[in-house]
Amino acid sequence: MDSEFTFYDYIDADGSGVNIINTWLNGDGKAAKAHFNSVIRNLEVSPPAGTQYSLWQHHYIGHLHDEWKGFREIRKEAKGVQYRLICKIEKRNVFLVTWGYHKGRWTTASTPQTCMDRVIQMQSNPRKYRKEHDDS
Amino acid sequence: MTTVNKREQIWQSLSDSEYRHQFVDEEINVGIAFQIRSLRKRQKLLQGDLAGRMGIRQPLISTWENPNYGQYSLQTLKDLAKAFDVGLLVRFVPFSKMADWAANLSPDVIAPPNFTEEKKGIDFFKRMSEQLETKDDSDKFVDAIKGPRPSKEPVEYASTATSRGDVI
Repeated sequence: MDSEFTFYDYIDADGSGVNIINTWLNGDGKAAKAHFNSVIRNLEVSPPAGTQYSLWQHHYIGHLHDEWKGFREIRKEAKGVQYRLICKIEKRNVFLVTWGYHKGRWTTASTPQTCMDRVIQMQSNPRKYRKEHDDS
Repeated sequence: MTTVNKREQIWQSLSDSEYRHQFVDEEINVGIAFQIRSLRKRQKLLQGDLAGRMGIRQPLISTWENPNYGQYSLQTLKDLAKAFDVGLLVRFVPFSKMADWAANLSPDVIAPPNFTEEKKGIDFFKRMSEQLETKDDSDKFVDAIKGPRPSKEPVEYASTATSRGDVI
């Protein structure tokens, strides 16, 4: 694959030891799994934001605000629920750190600080805390 | 990750029948939306330009570029193919074929060249292969690109870095 970006899943190495993104996509987030995987595969080969052919923009990936400022999201609405996959982009790496739902109000199991800590872990110890995004 | 690994993961995920059918849905919904915007950018068209070519209103283009839309009619797809001057394949295929497609995405797969651009590329390679049969090895490639040059003069090669989307 002619990749511009690499997406990484967060591995909860100090806790359950599982790939939290893949586990969610095969569990509660299953209705949105095919959508997220397809968007990720397309974004992987899309040139960076600011370049002529970039698709790192509205419709495909959104900017978050307030306490989530600096994070980005991919959204999918299925069966009346808005699913969100939250990530942080550092150069050509995209760290998938958590997920959320919007059923009337935004719900996620992680705080922005937890997510930031995860990004730092994924950067400082990649072997332990991250794995290339798993489509399975 | 290698393409083979990616393909394996996709193939494995298709064992789940519910997911398999979502996969078909999303490959179309997300894939078409990305293709429309990428093709538009490759052809340097604003949404209004494309709408003008198709005789429709600009907001419709924005709707079609949304990966959550997913309501394309065959006629819309045929009209878009005509406006972009690219081909369109709508076929029932085995899932393995879809997995191959999904694992092998690239900028040129998402935004293929239109007929004029493709023809230029094909004509260029035809010209080059004709020259390869008649010229000596050291000159053949440069001649094909730049035209004939004086035989003993040193040649400086300028940077040939081009942005994606330049003529092949």
